[in-house]
Amino acid sequence: MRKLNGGPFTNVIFWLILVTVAGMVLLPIFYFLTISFASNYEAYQFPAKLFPTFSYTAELRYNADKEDYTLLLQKGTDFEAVKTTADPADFSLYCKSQLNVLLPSEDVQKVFFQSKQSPGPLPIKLRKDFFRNYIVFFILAEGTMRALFNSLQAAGWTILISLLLGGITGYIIARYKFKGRNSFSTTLLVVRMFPAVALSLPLVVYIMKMNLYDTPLSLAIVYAVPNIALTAWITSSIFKGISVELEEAAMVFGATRLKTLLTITFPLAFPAIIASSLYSFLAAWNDSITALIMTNNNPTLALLVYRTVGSSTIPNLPAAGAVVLLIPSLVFTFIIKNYINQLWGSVTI
Amino acid sequence: MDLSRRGNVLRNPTWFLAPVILYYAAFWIRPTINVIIQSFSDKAGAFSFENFLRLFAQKEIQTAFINTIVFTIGSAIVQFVLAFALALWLNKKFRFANLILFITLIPMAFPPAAVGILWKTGLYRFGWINSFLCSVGLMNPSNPIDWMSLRHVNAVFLLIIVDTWTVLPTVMIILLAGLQNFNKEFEEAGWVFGANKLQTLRDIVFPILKPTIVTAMILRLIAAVQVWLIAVMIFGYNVVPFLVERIAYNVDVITFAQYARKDAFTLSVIVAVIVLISVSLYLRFSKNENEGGQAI
Repeated sequence: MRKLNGGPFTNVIFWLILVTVAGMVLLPIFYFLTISFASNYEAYQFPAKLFPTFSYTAELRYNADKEDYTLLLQKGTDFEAVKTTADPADFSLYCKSQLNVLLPSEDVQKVFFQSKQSPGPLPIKLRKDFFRNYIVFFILAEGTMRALFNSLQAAGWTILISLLLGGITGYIIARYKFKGRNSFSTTLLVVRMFPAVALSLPLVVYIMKMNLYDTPLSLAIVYAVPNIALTAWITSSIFKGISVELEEAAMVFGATRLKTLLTITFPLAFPAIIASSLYSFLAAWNDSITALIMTNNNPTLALLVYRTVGSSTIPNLPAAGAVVLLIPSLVFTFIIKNYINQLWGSVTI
Repeated sequence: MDLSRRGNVLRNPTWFLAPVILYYAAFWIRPTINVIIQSFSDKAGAFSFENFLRLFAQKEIQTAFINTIVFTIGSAIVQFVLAFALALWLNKKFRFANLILFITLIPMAFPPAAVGILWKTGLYRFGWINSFLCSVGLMNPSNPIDWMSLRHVNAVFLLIIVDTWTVLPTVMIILLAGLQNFNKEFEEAGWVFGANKLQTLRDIVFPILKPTIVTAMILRLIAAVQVWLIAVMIFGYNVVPFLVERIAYNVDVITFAQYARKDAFTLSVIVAVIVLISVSLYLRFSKNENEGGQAI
């Protein structure tokens, strides 16, 4: 805080900026996480809560005149009537679909009975099935798990193709001078930035001829195009950093070239190989336009999440899907954070 | 360095590049040529500019062009100013600088689909944006704004904000790397000669950082012309047309319309051309940067 110790005023400004910056990032994320745990009822509550709730404070009122029961949920200092019914099954269904509360009909009957006995409204606590949205989105909704597997498969194939072809290319670029090496490297850079959409469209025809349409492998073929170049780029800079003398020393002691590669070079290049694999994974995992163009009945998770948003008005279920989509991206991005600068030919932080 | 001269088993190791070259011939060059041919031919297959003429005559495409330009320029300006300010600030290495850096990097990790939903949960009438504004007293809870009903330029500006939220860290991290690479003595020399902070920034920091700035901005440009997902997730198709949004619309919605495929092909050629021009600019600048003795 060398330059910021100019008195209380600058200090206030400093903290103001700090809180604003952190808030701009964290507030949306907190609200977003909360809504992914929100029931339909909560999703329509306004203003929305910053942190998720685990239970509802509620009252059950017996209406003697109609012989039915009214559920009241606490809203601020008041209670709001949300459901009136005499049928335990109906009540149970409402709790499940609107409140994310799992309360079997038999239990409802017991509570109804208690409520009838009690002189005033019966105070009850309804415990939320906290991960209900996630369970609904992933286990109960058809096709989500398959989409998740498709995403993983596509990512796996992408990593495999990119590492195999890109790794070899990186090694050759790093170790050998050959005619056209520079223009080859430049071509790799152009490929890396080439828009996927311009590739996916015409490729569909070939993919259909290869009988691969609507499969994760077909997606990987497109994802691998920029990722081979990226892998070659990352690995070549690492291979350049591993001194040739080390390899030569191994060969002097009688190791074959392949053995040298496997025992000396690859272990040293391992972090870069992991980093480029994670890049490939992220490219496959995050993509949606290629999946939109090249799949029909077998969408990837990202595409499925995108499609669910269109079909539902309340975003709590898609939010749950997005959180799951987000987790690997978040973890992997922070693992490879330090490579990001190097990626565009800059230095590390 | 040259191991090939050592008389190894592998006389000419460049043969190992054959699989890569074949892969690119099959899955990059061939489809690229195909898409170009498709875009320059009519239904019968004869050479014509018909596709381009038909596209440019459509009102949605014109809007898509204008929106893409507004979005690209707008987001470039907003993101550059904010990212540069943030990078300058974080470069001061104050007590919580590392924590703040970590926090600001989080949005970078969001997949576009997750960004779309995060903001959708905020932008609907009962979303978190209105909730937040109400809880700090900036909005009347009885009359919340429906942000998703914004249209035209306002909608584009909203998308710029959403886009900035997620890509700001990427721009910032590049600029920050440039700043850290920057020799402090230049700046100090400026102060010695009596320049104030603003003058040093304008006359010393900017010119030296120019290659880094240009690099970061061109990379943003390449990504910005391909925007579609957040627009469709927040507003749906047709509300805020963008170039790639039009492609997705042709592929996803009107798949079997007469010209859907031709339009998609032609648009993707246009997008690819814009990207390639940006890439060539990038190459030119990064070359200058290397010649100028900067870090590779």
